Formats: sequence, C-alpha cells, structure tokens
Amino acid sequence: MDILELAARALEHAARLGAREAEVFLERTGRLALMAERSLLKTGERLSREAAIVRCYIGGSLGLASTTRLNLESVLEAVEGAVKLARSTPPDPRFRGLPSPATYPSVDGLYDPGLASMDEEALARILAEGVERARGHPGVDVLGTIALTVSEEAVANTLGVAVKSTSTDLQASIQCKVERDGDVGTASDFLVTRDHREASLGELSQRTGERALSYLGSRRVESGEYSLVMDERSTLLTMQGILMQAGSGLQVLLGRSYLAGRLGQPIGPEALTIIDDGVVAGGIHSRPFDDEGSPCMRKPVVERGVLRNFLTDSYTAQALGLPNTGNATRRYMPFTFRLRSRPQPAPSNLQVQPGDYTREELIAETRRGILLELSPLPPIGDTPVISSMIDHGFLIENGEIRHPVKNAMVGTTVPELLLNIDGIGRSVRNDAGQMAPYIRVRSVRVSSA
Amino acid sequence: MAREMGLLETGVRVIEGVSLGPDDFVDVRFYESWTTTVLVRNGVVEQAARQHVQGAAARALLGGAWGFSSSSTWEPGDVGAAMERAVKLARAVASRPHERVRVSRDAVYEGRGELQVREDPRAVPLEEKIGVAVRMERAIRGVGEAVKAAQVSLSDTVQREVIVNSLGTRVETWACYVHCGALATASEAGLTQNAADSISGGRGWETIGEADVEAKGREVGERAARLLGAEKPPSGRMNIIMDPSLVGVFIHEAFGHASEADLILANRSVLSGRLGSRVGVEAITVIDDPTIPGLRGSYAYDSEGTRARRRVLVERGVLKEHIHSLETAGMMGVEPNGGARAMDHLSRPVIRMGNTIVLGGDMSLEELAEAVKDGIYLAKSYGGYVDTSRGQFYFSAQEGYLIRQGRIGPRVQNVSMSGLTLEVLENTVGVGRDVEVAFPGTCGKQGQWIPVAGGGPHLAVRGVVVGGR
Repeated sequence: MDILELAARALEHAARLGAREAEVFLERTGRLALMAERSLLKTGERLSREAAIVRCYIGGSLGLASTTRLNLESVLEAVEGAVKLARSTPPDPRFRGLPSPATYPSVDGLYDPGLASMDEEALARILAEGVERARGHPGVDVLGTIALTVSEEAVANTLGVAVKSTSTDLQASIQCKVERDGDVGTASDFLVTRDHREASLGELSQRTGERALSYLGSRRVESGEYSLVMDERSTLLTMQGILMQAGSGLQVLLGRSYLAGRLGQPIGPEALTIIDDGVVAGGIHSRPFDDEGSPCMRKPVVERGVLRNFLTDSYTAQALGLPNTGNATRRYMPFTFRLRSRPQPAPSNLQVQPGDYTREELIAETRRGILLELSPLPPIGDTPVISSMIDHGFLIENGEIRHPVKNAMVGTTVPELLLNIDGIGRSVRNDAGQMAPYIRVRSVRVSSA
Repeated sequence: MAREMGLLETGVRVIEGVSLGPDDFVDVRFYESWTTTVLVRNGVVEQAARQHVQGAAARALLGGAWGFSSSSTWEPGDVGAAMERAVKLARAVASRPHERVRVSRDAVYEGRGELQVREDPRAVPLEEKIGVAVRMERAIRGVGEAVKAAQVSLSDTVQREVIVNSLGTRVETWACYVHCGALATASEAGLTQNAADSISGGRGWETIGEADVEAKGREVGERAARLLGAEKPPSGRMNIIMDPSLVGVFIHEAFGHASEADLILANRSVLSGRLGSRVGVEAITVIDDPTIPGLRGSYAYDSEGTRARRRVLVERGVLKEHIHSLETAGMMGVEPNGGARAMDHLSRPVIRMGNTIVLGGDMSLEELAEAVKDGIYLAKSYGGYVDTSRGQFYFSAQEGYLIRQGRIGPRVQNVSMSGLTLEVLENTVGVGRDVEVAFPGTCGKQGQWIPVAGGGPHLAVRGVVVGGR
C-alpha cells in the first residue's frame, strides 16, 4: 500500500475514534554501510527500517504511539494506542492546532538515481580508496565508514496535509591515528553528499592522514587569554550547538533561552550573518516539508549581527506568536527515541556567511592564539556557558603556527564568543548545504597546566 | 507470525540454513521492547507516549568478515531473508582484502535471565505515571521565583532478547529500566544555571514507589537556585576531589571506554598493550559488574547470549582485564565476559560497560580535603566525553566548592575538568570509604544509546586541569 494511502486510512480511523486532530508521520528507510578497521574492510551492514508515529489530540490532550511495521493492522493499532493515551492525559493549554495544508517549495537534488543504484561493491571501492590514500602516510592507521541511505517520508494530518518525499544521501568518515615512541597524533574528517559525482574519499583521506601526523608532538600551553582561530567545521558545529539551544523557539517558550527577548537586537558583530536554509539544492537537511508537514524555507537567523528569527514549529510558533519557520524535526534523535517523541524545532542547513579574511591573514594577525580544527565549542546544556576541551588545536605565536596543543580547555560564554568575533574567512566549506568559514574570536580564556 | 514459544526454533531453523566453514559463525537475535514516556514542562503535561518495538537481527561471520542485517518482523521468512542479506554482505567483504575476524568458541550458554521486577511498569496505569511526573515537576517550581523552567521526563522500558547462535547458545533475557529525570533552570540578572538529577534503576516500578520524587524535585530546584549566587571558578592545574557522581562519570568515560576490547583491538585506546602494567596507585581497584541486581547497567546475559560476569578491570593499580565480546575474546585468545550489548534489533552488539565502580578506600571526605589542602571539590556530574585514542577526557560538574587549607569552603559555578586518563589514577592521593553508585547514565557509542551506571567513593587527585567561564 502507498504510504499516503496508509496514512489516510489511519487518519480516518483516528477521527472515528474521536480524535479532534491527528497526524501520521511515516518513514521507510534502507541503509547500506561498510566499515573498515585497522585499515582493512571488516563489516557490511544492510538495514531497512519502517516507522509510523501517530499523534492524536482530544481537547488539547496529546497521545503519541508508534509502530515499526508499515502495515495497516499495525498502524491502526498505533492510532488506537494514541487515542487511548490522549484520553488519559491532561490538556496542553499551549496547543492551538496542527498545521494546515500549504504550498510547498520545489527542492532540487534530494534524490540521485546514481546514488540509489550503488551496491556494496561500489561503496567498498570508495572506502578502500580512502583507506589506501590515508595509510599512504607512514605509520597511519585508518578507521573508516561509508553509508548510503535511501528514504521515503510522508506526513498527513486531519486538516488535509498529505505530502511525501524521497531522498538519497551518502555519508562517510575517516579517522586516522599515528603513534611514534608513545606519542599519538589523530585526525578525522567526514564526507556528506547527495550527489554520486562527489562520492570520493581520496583527497579528504590524504589530508586527514597528513593532519594526524601533524598532531604528533603536542605540548601543554600556559593558562591565559588567547585568540581562537576556528576552522570551518569548528565554526559550523559551534553555531549548530548554540542555535540548537538558544535559537530554538521551544527553548524560548520554556524560558530556557538566553536569547529570549533579543529579536531585533545585536548579538554579534556586523560581519556575522547566519542563514538557516531548509531548501538549498542538495542540502543534507533540505526537504519540501518538515516533520509536521509545514513548508521548509530559507531565513536569516542572524543578519549583520542582529538576531532576526527563532527556529519554530507549529506548536512554538503559535504559542509565541511568531512565524512557523518549518523546522520541526526528530532528526537529531536516535531512531528508537524518535518513535516516542514529538518533533521539535532544530536547525536545518546552517550557513555562516563569508567575510573578508583569508585563513592566512587570520593566523598572521594573531599574536597569541590557538587554531582549532574540528574542535567545536558548544554551550553546556541550556546555559550560555561554554567550557570545552580543545580536541585538536595548534598554538599560534606572533602569527605563526608553533605546535599542537595538549590538555587545554576553553572557558567563555555564548554572548562573549559571538561579540568577540573579530575576523571571518572569505571562503566557506560546503558540506551538502551546511556552510561555514574560518572565524577568529579574541580574548578567550584557556586553562591548561 | 512466529509465535513467541517458537522463537528459539525459528532462530535454529534460520541458522541451520546457512552453510558454515569451521571458523564461520552466525547468530539471530529477536528483540522486543515496551516503553512509556511522560513529559511535563513548566506545569504542562506535554506528552504521553507508548512505543512497542519488535524485530530480529541476523549476523554472519564468513571467511573472517562480518555481515549484518535485520527484519522488522519475526516471521521465519523475513528473518531468513535478513540472514541471507547478512551472508551476502559478509561474502562481499570477504572477497576483498579484509580484517580476518574470528569469534571465541568458548562461551556457549542455554538459559534465561528473568525479568527482575516486583511491579511491572507495563501494568501501572498511565494516570499514576503522569501523577508522579506532575508532582516532581511541581516540587521543582515550588522552590521559588528563581526557578524559571522545570522539566520532568519519566520513562520505563521492559526489554526482551532471544539469542540463538551456531555455537549452540540458546538464551532468553529480560531487562527493565525506569528513569525519572528532573531538570531545573534558574536565572537572574542575565545569569542562567541548570541543575539535573534523576531517580533511576534497573528494577521495576518500585524504583519510583520507594523514592521521594518530591524531595528529589526540590533538591534539583534548590541546587539551580543557589548556583546563581556562587562564585566563578578558578582555572589552571590544581588538586581536586571528585564526588561519587563525578567518579562514576570519570571511571566510565575516561577509563571504562578505554577498557573496551574493540577499541583496544582497533588501536583506539591508550590502554592497548598495557595488561599487567601499573595504571594507578595501589589504592585503586575498578570493577565493571552487570550482575549487581537492580542498577541501570545490570543484566544477566549480553546481546550475544554470553552470561554476564563481574570484570575486575584494575586490581590494586594494575590493569587486569578488558571488556569483551565473542569477537574480541576470540581475537585476543581469552574467555568472553559478556560485554556486548545492542540498543535494538537495528544495531549490532558492541562492547559496552554495565555498572563501572571504583571500590572504596579508607578515608573520610574531611581527610581527603586535608590531603588536598588547596584545590576544588567537584560535585554532581553534568556530562562529559573522552578521546580514547589519546586518553584525553573532559567533564563538567553542576557545582564545585573551593578547598582552602584543608577545608571545603565557598561554592563555585560552571566548573569543568580535563585531563589525561593515565595520569588521574596515577595521581590519586586519597580514596574515600563512602561508595555510591551515583551516576545513572545513558551511554552513547557508535550511535547506540545504552543504560549504564557508575560510581565509587570520593577521590582526591592532584594536578588536574580545571576551568570554567
């Protein structure tokens, strides 16, 4: 049975049982993955998973139930479970209603037949090439994974939403380690794409092997104030961490966001603009509709340093009186956790806009600093406090990179970090629609031995 | 549908359908779980949810290469098809240059791990569960105006696995986890502080029935509120005392993960090649014991059907044992010790800890403070992570206290610590006598989230990097 037809039958059943509003989210995913360990292929994995997550509302009370089988009997059973739960649950006064049907954007590059047709042999060739290139460096040991996902998602509700979408993606990671006389150097990188023409690990693995070697000889640095030069991956993951919490409409609604009440106010330098683009062609988090069937869109979160939008879903948008930005998702939860959770607002493809500096200029102008590589600085929990270990970093002195750093921690806050950005790189790394440049942050406290 | 009584037979039939060489291996694992969750935030019951997950996992080790697949039903035809996919993948990997894996053939079990509950949470009415969460959440907010947000997340899971393998293992094992987590957010004049704690265990609904949920809620709310007035922490290399919850996180993250034999074999642990070597002072003994009843990391059999047993990781400062699966035991030539756990039927068994504990010494907290002289006392963990390859770890604490001239003094906020795994146990200067399994956690590894517990006594350590905002 087509999944939208299955959804329609489920919604009819919910209405018959007395649900005032109901929604069904359906997912059918196939995953083919290969893993290499100690520089050799080791494991192949082929998984298919299905899920229907049903939300039923009766007088503002929510019941949620799910099934991991997409047949009519199981889905109707989940509907019955959700209705029963809703009858036993007190009403949620914040709930106003599920989203209504809308006009959906056309999003290019979500499904690539070239990716969908790849088999284990094709993946093995890509992974093997990556492993070989990385271990071309003397003494480098490689751990690698590659995974191809083909998925079909649909959302339907009793207000008339009925949409579905199909997508493919390929994700891979390479981790390198080298050991010499008890000294250890490590580095890692990842590939994410929806385009089979980008399905190669060769150059990425070559660079990762080189970087692992460059981390040999790490030394402690003195505690004190440093400028941080953050590479593109550190920048992207730090901004994701900040906006997952403080940028979420749900956190604002719950009184947990330190950015609450700051819409329209400056929170960073004028050079800082961050876009959340849910519809960029080929974006890893792009799609026409979110997990509730609201249209996805491109919108500024921070524009020239000013906070412009919180990320919302229908629940938080209605409760806060803000626009629904179409950011409802369960993507950040493990599969079994998704089956028992409402979607929540979270970033889609974040794009930190480029500035004026070259990487070399950012480093050359730094008297005393640390270059962070794949070392994100997310805030702790819901607080604005940042206290993070430097996973991979180099000491910069008088504009020159000196040596890798061992056992050091960064301590600052999100407002300080954003306001102290004093340089943004002019080129960005693009990971399937997620984009970020190098940035430099001045006067950050670093604790070490 | 394959009837429940027939799962072992279904598994045996599927296994017998595969042609195996002398070093080959296959297994089938049937998985089923029932979960209920209730979420209450800021006085609103936002969600009640129920979930039933059922499926089967098939693994094949052929020619030294692994294949893994799954089925979302227990139908013999679907499980058989999953095994065929696993076999095909194993052969595809084996046809290329590959790591040559072998499993231990020493662990063959037939048995049943019973559901160890006095009150099965599946039989508890939803209204009662909602009532518990509402009372706890109300107690958090009842602390006063400083608490701006409160959340209680209650969940209970009953889980069953039936494991059949080509070596002859035939095991059925049950587990139950109940967790009621409280989170308070206090803020004042632009400053925000969080506090969190939980009532949690590997028993039935009695976990909640025997606890005072309102007292726990108040405790969390009060901690968040009082942190608003705490001092900023000092930073740099200093002497510390960790409370049992920090010790639990430390021993789990920094040491336990490094003791997992898959990371040792993959050359991703600082403990590689150190068995029999000194890794800590003589006062340190560390165990990982899934057989302690009722804790969050307790289980009778692992997800490969190996009977769980107590593992002595460090004895009087000497590294004694790693945590093993059938594979790592086979590759390292030792006996399996029941450390392979899987999140669900969509996940391969991966080496995980159960209950990881530092055994007690003979010092009181006051004596430890005197031993430290000047430093910081870290209390109530707020998470952390480790890079096992380089042995570098990081943890944050919810609160800390300055130690001056051997006495525990003023409270500080947002304090974190970072260090090197191999230095901390070597630099331990005192071991408390007050053992508490104070870290009920959910551990993530390779995308799988598994219930665990950790703990120990207070520990005094010199020369740890401490920092904060």
